[in-house]
Amino acid sequence: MNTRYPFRRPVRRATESGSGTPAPAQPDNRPAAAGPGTEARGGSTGTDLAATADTGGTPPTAQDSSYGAIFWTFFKIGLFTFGGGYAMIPLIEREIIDRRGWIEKQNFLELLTVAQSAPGPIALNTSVFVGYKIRGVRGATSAILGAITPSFFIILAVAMFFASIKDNRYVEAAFKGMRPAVVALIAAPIYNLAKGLGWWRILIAAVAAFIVWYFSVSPIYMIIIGAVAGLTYSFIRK
Amino acid sequence: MIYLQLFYTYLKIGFFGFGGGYAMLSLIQHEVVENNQWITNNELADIIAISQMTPGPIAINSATYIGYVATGNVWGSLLATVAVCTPAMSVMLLLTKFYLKLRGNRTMALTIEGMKPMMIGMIGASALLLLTPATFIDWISWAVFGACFVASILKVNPILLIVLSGVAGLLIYL
Repeated sequence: MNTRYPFRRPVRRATESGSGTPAPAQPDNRPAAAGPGTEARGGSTGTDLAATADTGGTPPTAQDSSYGAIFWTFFKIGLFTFGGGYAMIPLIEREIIDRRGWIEKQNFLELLTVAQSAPGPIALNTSVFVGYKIRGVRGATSAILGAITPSFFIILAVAMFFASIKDNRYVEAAFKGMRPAVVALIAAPIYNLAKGLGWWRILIAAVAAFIVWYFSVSPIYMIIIGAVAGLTYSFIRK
Repeated sequence: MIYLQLFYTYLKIGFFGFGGGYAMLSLIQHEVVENNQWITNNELADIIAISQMTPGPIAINSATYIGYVATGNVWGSLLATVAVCTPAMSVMLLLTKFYLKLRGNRTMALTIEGMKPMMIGMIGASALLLLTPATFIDWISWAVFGACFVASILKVNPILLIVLSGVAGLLIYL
């Protein structure tokens, strides 16, 4: 499939100045507005608008943005996203922004901060908003399905297979070495994250961690307490 | 009814899992190891190690894995995976839709500010919860921990660190 997009240059650059006009359509082998319903809407807005511009209220897209193309692009991204959400960002920039020109970089970076504060894995949230920006709710669904399909089948295979080998002495020895490494990988980001907080917020974080760890309190309560505290503060200090 | 329980549990994890993968781990540990006892702490650490070496977010990987282990079939796996994605998808769709209105909203920004120390605290809790006598079996475990902690702060590739510590485990514990 890669051969369909050989060395494609960025196509959205021209429209980033905000003129609002659709980028020149570069149809691939598939028509750009392939989804049901888009033709009818495109017809009502007049004929001088390129068919590619009307994708159900979402910004004009420069290239083939069928649900299949969205799925496939996110499938590729999902396949190479090792280590969670942040690993995904350069892949999205290359595939979606530079190569395909589906969304604009400024828009992407703004929504990325939203994705980080919403619940759920950041990679998932990012797929949802990028997919939505391309083709609405169905675009988001295509993106999410594409992004999780590779890891779903890989982990399913591991789950089916791992139970039968986990008592193997080689496997057990390797995992004995890996378990403390995992704890270190989780703990290390705290160092960088805490640097951005004041000392009293570090104290709050430490107390919350201790309560969850020592008293087996559900982390849900800690999240709610934090949200309520922020909300209260916003009303007290107008 | 294991399927209902699985769906509800992962729906909860998806909805309250603020702060990304590592912060969600404390919630996953609380629900999956302590409350439902579908897997042990050691198994959770193993899943995280595997998740580091395979693509995809840890929260989704854990759903796929535990869904299979808890029910013994593919449907459990699929159900848990869908459950963990559902809240994130709906909330994120709403946020994307109303983002222009919410952008300058002070209340919203301060609510997220209030949650921030909690998210970082939950990452700390994730690490503490996995730091058990079963995962840290001797002084070598602490040595591996220390080396990986420093290397990770120095931005050494996490996959490399997992692989190297696995090799170290093979050399030491065999």
